[in-house]
Amino acid sequence: MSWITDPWSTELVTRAGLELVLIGALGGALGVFVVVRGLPFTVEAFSHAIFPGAVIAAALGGSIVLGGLVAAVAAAVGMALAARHLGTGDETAIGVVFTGMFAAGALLLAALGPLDRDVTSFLFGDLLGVTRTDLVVTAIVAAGIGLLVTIVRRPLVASSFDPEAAAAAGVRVERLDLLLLCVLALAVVVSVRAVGNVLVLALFVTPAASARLVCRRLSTTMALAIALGVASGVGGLYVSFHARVAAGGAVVLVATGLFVLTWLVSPRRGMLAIALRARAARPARA
Amino acid sequence: MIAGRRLIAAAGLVAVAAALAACGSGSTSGADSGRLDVVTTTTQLADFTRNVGGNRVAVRQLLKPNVDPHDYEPTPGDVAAVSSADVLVEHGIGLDTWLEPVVDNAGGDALPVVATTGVPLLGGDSSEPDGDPHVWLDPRNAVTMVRNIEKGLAAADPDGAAAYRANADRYVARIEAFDRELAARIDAVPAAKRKIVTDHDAFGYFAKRYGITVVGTVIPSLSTAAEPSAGDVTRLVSTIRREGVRVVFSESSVDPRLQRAIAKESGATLGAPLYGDSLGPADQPAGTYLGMMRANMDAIVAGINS
Amino acid sequence: MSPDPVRVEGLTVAYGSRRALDGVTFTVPAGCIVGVIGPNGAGKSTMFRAMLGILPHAGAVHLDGVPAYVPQGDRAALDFPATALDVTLMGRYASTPWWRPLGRRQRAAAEAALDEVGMTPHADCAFGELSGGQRQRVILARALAHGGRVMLLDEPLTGVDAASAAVIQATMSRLRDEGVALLVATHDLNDAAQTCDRLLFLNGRLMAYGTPADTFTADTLTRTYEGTLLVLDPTDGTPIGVLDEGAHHDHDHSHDREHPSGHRHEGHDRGPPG
Repeated sequence: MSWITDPWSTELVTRAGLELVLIGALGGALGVFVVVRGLPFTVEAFSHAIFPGAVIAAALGGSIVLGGLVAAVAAAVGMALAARHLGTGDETAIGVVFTGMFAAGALLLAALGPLDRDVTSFLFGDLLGVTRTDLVVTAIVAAGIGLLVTIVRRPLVASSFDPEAAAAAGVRVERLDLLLLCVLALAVVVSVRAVGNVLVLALFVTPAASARLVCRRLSTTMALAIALGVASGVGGLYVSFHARVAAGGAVVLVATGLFVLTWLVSPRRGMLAIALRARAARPARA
Repeated sequence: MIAGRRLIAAAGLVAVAAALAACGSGSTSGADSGRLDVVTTTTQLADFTRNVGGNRVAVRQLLKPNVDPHDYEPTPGDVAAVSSADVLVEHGIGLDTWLEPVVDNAGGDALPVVATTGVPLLGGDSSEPDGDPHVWLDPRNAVTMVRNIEKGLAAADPDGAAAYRANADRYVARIEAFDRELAARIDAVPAAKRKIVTDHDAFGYFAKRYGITVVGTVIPSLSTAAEPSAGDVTRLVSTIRREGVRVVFSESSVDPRLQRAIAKESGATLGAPLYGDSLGPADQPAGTYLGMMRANMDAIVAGINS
Repeated sequence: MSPDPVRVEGLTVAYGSRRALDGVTFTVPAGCIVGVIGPNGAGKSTMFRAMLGILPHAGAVHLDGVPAYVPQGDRAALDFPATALDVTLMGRYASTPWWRPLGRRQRAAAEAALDEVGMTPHADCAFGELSGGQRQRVILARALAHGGRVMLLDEPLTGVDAASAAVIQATMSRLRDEGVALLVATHDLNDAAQTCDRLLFLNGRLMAYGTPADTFTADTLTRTYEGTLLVLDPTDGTPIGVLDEGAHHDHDHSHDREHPSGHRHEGHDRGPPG
């Protein structure tokens, strides 16, 4: 049974595994709101909008995480303003803002010359290079977000389900929307460092989507999404270790595989259940 | 709101104008000063060419320092430069495959020079099927490349043939002197300590020349594109421990986070960054070939002695 | 004598130069059902939203406590993971601080509310899998769980099956009997005239406000539904209702799915938007 314990034989890979556990849980929990509120495109936008902030921060010699976060929050605000004042649809505004920012980052990088190499790894993930400090930062961010969401969970749920009734009951819906966006921006920044900006969307969407196929209530959906997120992270680590493939891709493949599995066997909405119900409903042959 | 729309439109026009202006800025050619226009792909080739051509040539390199040549994307400016060049010096061995569409689009009548003609090659891998391209890290191959460039310049500019030969002779002498110095310094280190780990597999020729063993690489490939897996990294760490490797090197164009983590885990030290794919920035010592080789030498000798 | 639980004075909602609501003034005493009547785009939903503080407005609105609200139609997320009981419990959110869990008493209140609307057998069903009428009942249960002295309902009977409509009507009556002030926007004129204590006719301005006997007249209907067809009872000529040609198009809200009506509805009868 050494294949179970082997990955944890080095502190290096153990750190990577713990980082994946934290990020998988974070993505699963927030992912429920991402999926229910139709925010996947926004999350994708954040992962790209980070770029110019990271480039500028690297050029100034500052913290790249902070630069990326500032850029992501600026993107969130920009998207909200653009949607409100330019009369464009939400998705259009998002598309315009984040592609513009990403292009600006690319041009900045070309103009400022090859920078402190940190920028590239920040964007494309450097899971195995995670340090103890990185891990502590991720843990603090995850705990902070968890606490914040716990405090606002009821207004958040109410406004996700029915924003108008929530507003009538006294919830500050617009402020809550912006808070959620900022929390998402922070979560994306922390997660991008581990798995890269191409794949980070999967962490916020796939486990939650799988959980929604199975569960009927928000509390169970969130619990299952967190479990699936963690399972994807740890499973991906095992695949990366034994099959010798890149960790980020392995994590996403495991998450997707779990989704397909859920889709097949979910007792309510799964393909198998639907097929069986159809078979049972067919009249008996004479 | 109308005001907002007008502002966006104005900004858009400015952006388009700026983009067009940027496209238009082509190479600074020495055509007016009567010098030979030479375009090279890599920074090493540019340095060789300047040393051989002296002030008879105006050299423009397409790759900037510390830019990874394995996945470089050419710009419209590159196409313009090639179309007005007299000589185009390329590396070969699959390092500048991105040059093909540039040449196709540029037209012009630049004389092509493949600098690595005649260099004995080490085997490649799946990412570099033509062979290991990092030939210049063995100074003897650098000499071959310098001679090839000398021939190419003389063919394009026969009037300068004598000058080119004199320059090349002087430069080759310097390279050979460096080669001897480096060999001596490494010979002084016991063979058992001459084990290193590098970022990607760029130092095959170097290692063969000086009797160093590259025990493993962080990226399991000749190209920088591959990503190491958790399995690769764990195996590398145990190999480092088993072989008693004392130093892990990162590379100048690559983030050292992973190398640092591997060094720490295996008890080795993280050496100074090596230059494996390119020269350093022009205003630094590693901006010339000899400066770069010297920096590599200092880093490696210090690392294996630690 | 305590003041009326609903007091509105000079309520005005303007979009640029256009006024969706202009100087609306009225009060509603405790234990009273007010039917809010008007054509498509007359501002009924706008008035509710302004009264609830969702929409910026001029004028004064005094409500006793935080009102319960049954919003119009089916805009709630149908695929949100929540059971009928979960949705009902949301009514208790506003009155429970974040550090306090929703304990047994809160759950009991929610279950009682569900029971009153006859949805106890479906308490654990996914909200999105219920029928339109059942969902409307659950939304009403949520408002019941919220409690309070004032309730605003925006077309609670529109497109709802007969059984659900009966339950909703009964609940509204029960609330009225217990002293709650209710405002109900509706298109069913006949029904409103028979079940409401007062009628409020609205078309940007307050056209008439009073008992059905005083206000449900051909004159009021004509002024409110300006330029639309009046339907008269063939036996004695009294007005039964109007056919709304959508004469007054306010585009301030797109979810006003009002439809021509002059009679009670059976089943899911949603007409096209005016």
